[in-house]
Amino acid sequence: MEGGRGELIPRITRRCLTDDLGLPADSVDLPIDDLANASDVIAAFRDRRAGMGSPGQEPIRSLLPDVVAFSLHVGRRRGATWHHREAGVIWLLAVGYHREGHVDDAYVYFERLKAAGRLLPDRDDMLAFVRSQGPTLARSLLSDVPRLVTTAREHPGVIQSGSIGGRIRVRIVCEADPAMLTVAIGQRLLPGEMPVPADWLVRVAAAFLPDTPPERLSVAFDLAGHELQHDEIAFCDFVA
Amino acid sequence: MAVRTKPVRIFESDHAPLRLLAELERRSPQEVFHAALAEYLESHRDELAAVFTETQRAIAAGDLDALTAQLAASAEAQADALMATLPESR
Repeated sequence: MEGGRGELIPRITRRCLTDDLGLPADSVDLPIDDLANASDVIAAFRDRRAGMGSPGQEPIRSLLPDVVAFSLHVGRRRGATWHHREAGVIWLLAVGYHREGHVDDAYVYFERLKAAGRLLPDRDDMLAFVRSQGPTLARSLLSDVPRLVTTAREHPGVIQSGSIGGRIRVRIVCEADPAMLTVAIGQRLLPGEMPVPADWLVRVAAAFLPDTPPERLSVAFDLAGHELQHDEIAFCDFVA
Repeated sequence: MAVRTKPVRIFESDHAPLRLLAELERRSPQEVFHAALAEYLESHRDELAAVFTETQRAIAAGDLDALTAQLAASAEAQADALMATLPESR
């Protein structure tokens, strides 16, 4: 599960994986399902947060107001989860044992991490997250796009909707006589609020128009006469 | 030309030249901006073409690794953009 069906994308910071859960640093690159097999806390995180699309119910008061993180209960252990709305990611930030009144209590630990600037994801975590999206998107460009094009050709004039790797919304239509294919690409990454990088927009267009010489690529201002949605950019070309 | 419009913020210093050009050419600022963007796109078509063509090649070859590597080209910039959205407390 890596997002794409409206749920949040689950990620775990490298610090949490290594320091709190005792996993190797390179486990940050493993799929969440593999990580869930290695830790019941991660399994609970995946099932109760990412899978449910829920940021949580019980905010961790000691981290407020700067960080609105939520407590994940797994036996005596507590996890701190945080919904990074812009990224569409639910992060598992830290895990500790709940020992009421103890200096090593999980909530005291979370507060110490925050004070030290080690609670939230760092740039390496962000980079690992961004890179983790590549293979899914690439597979989708190779397999989903041809299917969408075939469907669009079979139903001329009918707008087909889909997504690239669950992250980039696309609509496509093939008009007949003359045959023209137009693809409209949403410019906001799903889930979340971040813009689709400009080069990704061009790469998606290239996947839909694999035989179009770049000098013939045109920007379209509608989709077979229908208005584009407010965040879409569209490309078109005549097709054989 | 599309008749729907959206607000675009421009540098304050660009407002006067934009208005000047529009008045000289008896066009609206929107039309001047539209024409300028079209010219810019045309003059920067090489950058667009390079990305477009390398992607088409990887797709034609069914090269998953090449496509994955291409998609990672903007990873650093994306990571920086995401870092900028973190709460200030960090």
